[in-house]
Amino acid sequence: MDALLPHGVEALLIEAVLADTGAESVCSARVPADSPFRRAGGAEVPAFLALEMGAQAAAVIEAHRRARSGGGPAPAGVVVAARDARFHSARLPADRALTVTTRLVESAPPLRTYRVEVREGAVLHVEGTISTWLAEEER
Amino acid sequence: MSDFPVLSRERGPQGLLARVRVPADSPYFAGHFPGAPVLPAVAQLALVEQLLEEEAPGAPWGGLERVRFRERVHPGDELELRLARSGAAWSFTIARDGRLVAQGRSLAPV
Repeated sequence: MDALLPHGVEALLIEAVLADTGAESVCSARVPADSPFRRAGGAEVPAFLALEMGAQAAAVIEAHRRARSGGGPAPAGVVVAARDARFHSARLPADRALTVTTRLVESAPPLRTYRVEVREGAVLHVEGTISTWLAEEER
Repeated sequence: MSDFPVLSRERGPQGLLARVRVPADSPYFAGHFPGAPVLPAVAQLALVEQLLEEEAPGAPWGGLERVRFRERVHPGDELELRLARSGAAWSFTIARDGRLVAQGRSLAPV
């Protein structure tokens, strides 16, 4: 996964890509044991960490798009907005795999907007919309 | 333990105003990104959570209505965070040297 995404392994939340259609990715995510979001190694993390899971899953879409078009690896991007994010659970389980579904809903490079859902099995923990900015596409 | 040391804080009718430092060696920079550290947006939310926990312990977040992250935050930055109750929710701004870095509003739990 660290070859696919620009993040260092310490920051990686995505552990596997389950599906990618080019406009939507389904990934498995898990919070590393030494993540600073885990208080004292706790078993839960804030629900808002789901937004970073969505951002990394969005980077998977971008990495695969570039690979298909013969481009380079996914560049570093940042989250520039989040809206309509609903936390159905106040905290997320840190030790269990979560399923992150991220769908591209608007693209105006370097800005892209994605709808994100984070679930554990059938339980929807977080849903919302994020926008990312790829610095290398700035003009 | 606080992830972001608070340098000063004032409470007034507008809410809380706190100056905080982003430690250069903060673990939030690890891997984000190698050779070009940028504080993740969710770490800025962790900063808001830290101050909110100190201001209103146990205050639940139902979500985020609209948040904008306008400027990148780097190791060693000093930030000003304003936090104000807005009905059952909270609004916040983060600034650096008078420039808006981020702003947003939480959603009340349903």
